[in-house]
Amino acid sequence: MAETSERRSSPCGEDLALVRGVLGGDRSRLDLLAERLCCIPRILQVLNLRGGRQLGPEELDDLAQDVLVVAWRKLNEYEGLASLEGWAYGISVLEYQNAVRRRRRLLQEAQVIARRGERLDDAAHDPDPWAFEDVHEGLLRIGRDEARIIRLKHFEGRTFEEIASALELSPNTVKARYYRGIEELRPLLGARCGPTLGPLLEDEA
Amino acid sequence: MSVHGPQHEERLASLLSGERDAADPDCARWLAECAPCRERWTALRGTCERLEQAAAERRAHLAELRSVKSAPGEERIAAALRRLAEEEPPAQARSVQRIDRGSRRWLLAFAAAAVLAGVWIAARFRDRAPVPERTWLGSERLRLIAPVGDVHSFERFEWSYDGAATSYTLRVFEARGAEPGARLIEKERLKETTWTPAAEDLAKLPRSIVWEVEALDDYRVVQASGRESASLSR
Repeated sequence: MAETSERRSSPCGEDLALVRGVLGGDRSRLDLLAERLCCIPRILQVLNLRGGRQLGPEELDDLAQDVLVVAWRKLNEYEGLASLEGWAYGISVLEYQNAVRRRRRLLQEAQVIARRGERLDDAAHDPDPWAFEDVHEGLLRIGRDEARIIRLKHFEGRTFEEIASALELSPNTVKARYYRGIEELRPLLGARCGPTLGPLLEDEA
Repeated sequence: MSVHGPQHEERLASLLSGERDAADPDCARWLAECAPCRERWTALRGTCERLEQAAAERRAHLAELRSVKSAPGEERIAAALRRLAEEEPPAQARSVQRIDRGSRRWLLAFAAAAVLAGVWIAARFRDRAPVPERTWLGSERLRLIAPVGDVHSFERFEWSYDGAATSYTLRVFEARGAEPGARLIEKERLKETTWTPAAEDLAKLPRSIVWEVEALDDYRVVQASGRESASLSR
């Protein structure tokens, strides 16, 4: 029975077993986990390429180590609801954003000094590498249960029934929490997600 | 014209979960008649659409991973993980209990209140009050290097931290045995992991001191802290 429950509550059961093994002190599984967590530098590389190579190789190297430390400390929070790569992606995105912000701030400070306090207007020329930063940060600011359901629904593509089964909740509870979560998220995403939908509604109405 | 009420909230929830179809004539009529519902439905759909766009980007990034052969830092992952497992055992990681966000907000508010209270108390009893027993955070990552134990001078304070700190706070106390007594020096917003006392600072220091360092992040939240004692050898 326990096995059934385990299987039901963790769609990525093998990944969860790996993590639990390592957390339980099984050093023999550490290499396997390291192999899987090699996705962290790769994710950072992909993010950096998509974001216009804002960080250099050395910065990426250092950042990969930082993200690994964060992931290690959060390992006990891994629930097996997404693959290890999907889970590491969430951490990597936020850490990459922070690193880019830190780098920008340093550059701006250096430019201010170089221009002797001239006002900077770089924002207008700066490409927006993080079109969905508000989504990832918004999900951190709403209720944890609601965010988890939203992530499973949209990021993992699971149905409400699958989510209910994974979280051992009733489908109605999952739907209610999903609704509440979207309502909480709505003001956090602000103006970026409203105006384009007018015509859609008009079509429907 | 229908009046917006709790039933409408339920309908919106069922519309969002897909139980109802907005194209259904009954739904279309309801949305046409209830302006608040119409606005909310537009906004809710906008939020979902944005989530879908973010999800599509995430999928694209994860799919792209397959074509990445290697990346900077990859070769260090295994060694770093082994080091982490040794320095920061999983049992220690497990002891960090998960806290839901609601409780976290309360904890943050409590922490902020505690910090304010601490600042007030420190201002009142500056240089006088003994420092209370403290819980050291992340001390396994923050290492106080010098001065430690018997030393010839206090001319250089040095520590190392392998996390991401924006600044450090250094405090030096008069030693009362192994415990700190009156605070003699406090240096905030240090950017480096070393500090060289000026002559007037050195003049304040007795033969035995206790010193502590806090590593802080962008928001001035303490990430790690550590304490050591040192004495001038005779």
